Formats: sequence, C-alpha cells, structure tokens
Amino acid sequence: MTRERFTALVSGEQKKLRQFLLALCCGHADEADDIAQDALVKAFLASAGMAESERLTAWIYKIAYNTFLDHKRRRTPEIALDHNCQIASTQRADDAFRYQALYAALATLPPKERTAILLYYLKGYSIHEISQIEDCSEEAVRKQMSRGRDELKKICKRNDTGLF
Amino acid sequence: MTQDYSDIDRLFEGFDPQVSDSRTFMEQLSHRLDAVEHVRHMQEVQLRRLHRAAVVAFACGAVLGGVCLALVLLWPAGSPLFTLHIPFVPLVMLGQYGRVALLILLSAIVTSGVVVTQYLQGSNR
Repeated sequence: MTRERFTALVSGEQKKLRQFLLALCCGHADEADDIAQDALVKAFLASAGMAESERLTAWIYKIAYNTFLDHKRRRTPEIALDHNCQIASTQRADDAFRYQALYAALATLPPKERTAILLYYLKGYSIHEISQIEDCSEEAVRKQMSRGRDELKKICKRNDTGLF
Repeated sequence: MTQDYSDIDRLFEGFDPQVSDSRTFMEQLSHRLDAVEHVRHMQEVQLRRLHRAAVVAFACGAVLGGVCLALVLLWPAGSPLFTLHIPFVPLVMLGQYGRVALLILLSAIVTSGVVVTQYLQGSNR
C-alpha cells in the first residue's frame, strides 16, 4: 500500500481510533494520542506488502490494542481512581467532565475486558471480530464481555443518583 | 447474554468525546512517517552497498582463489612450495604438505571474508 493511500485511509479513521483509545486510556488524551501515533506508524511499516481490504480497519485496531498493552506494560503503576478523575477534570474541562463517570467506570475493568466492551459498544464489532483483534477465543471474549458488563452494571447501580 | 444491559447501552449512547485537532494529529503523523521513510531509505542504501560489497568480495575471492589454485597445481611436483630449514617435526611436515596447507589457508581466508561480509550485512538489517 502506498503512503498516500495509507494516509487517506487513516485520516478517515483516525478520529474514531483516537476516541476508542481515549476511552481505553480512561480519558488520558495525551497518552491516547501517543498510542495512536505509535500504532499508526507500526501499521504503516507493516502495510507495505498488504493488499487493501475491508479488514484493514480491524487490523489497525488490533495494532492499536497491542500498542496500548505495550504502553501499559512500560508505564508506572496505575494511578488511583480518585486521582484519575481529578486529572481528567482538570485537563480537558467540559468534555472530560462529561465522560468522567464513564472513564472512571472503565478504569475499574482490566484492559482486556475494557477493550472487548469498547470494541463492542463503540465500534459495533462482533464477538468473532473482537476475538481476532484480541487474539483469543470467542468464548474468552464472551466471558470478558459478561464480566465487564456485570461490573459496569454494578457501577451504574451504585451511581444511580445521576452520575450516568 | 440474555440479561438486560440497556443501562450499559445508555452509557455508551452518543459517546463522542472531543479529541485534539485532527489536522495537527495528521501533521504529527506525517512528520513521523517522513522520519520512518528516511530511516528505511538509509537502510536500503546501506543494504545495497553491502550487497555490492558481498558481490565484489565473492568475485575477488573466486579470481584470487582460482589464480592461487592454478599456481599451486602448476608448481613442479618434485620441488616443495617452501622449505623452512628448521628440524622441528610439525614444521617439516608443513613443508612437505605445503600445497595442502596453502589451499586450506586460502579457503579459510575466502570463507572468513564471506562470513564477515554476511555478518556485517546481518547486523545492519
């Protein structure tokens, strides 16, 4: 794939990819953008011998997911949830505040469950597609989805007073 | 999956957070891709150079090896290639089997040249 074609494809998809990564990073916009840049450079390097297909978007999400896991492994331990909320609210005032509760809820999920939930609800991917992106079985994704939903449901109930 | 997850659906309904300016993001990406392409180009140039060096080394090895082999084989069979005039058994034997020793030495030099070139090529990849 040529660079022009790759750039054209990416410019159409980058906003959704960054929104997905923003949710995956629980509202840390700078970290999400860094991961998006790294993932897209990796995708560009690997796209040289690749034919153009509809699976390309899912493939970019797979690279983004793996890059996110790499970043997480390299990063210092997770910041506490309360602290997380404060950072989000001071960094990107209105928008972060709007989704603060969602980011805080997502932060309680392990990365794999968070990814499965986000790919399902934000991208509308099927269990089969998510299993390919996460490189695990469909059964494992079903379990992740179930655990993730139950956890989010609990948080929804806890915050029923209007946070969501 | 038969449970009611409508509240979770609601949670993600209309999820459209603001991200930084798309143009700036694409410009940054473009700079990174420029850097990547530059490095890739430099690597290709270096690889080409090493390929050429390997071909030249091979040709030189073949020519030199051929010339040396011809010299060794054309040397009169009766006269030794060299005499060391030292009454030490291994050196006397070396003098007797000078042709074979020289062939082994030449092969080792050519092989080492090829191996070193391959190693340099590999470490630059």
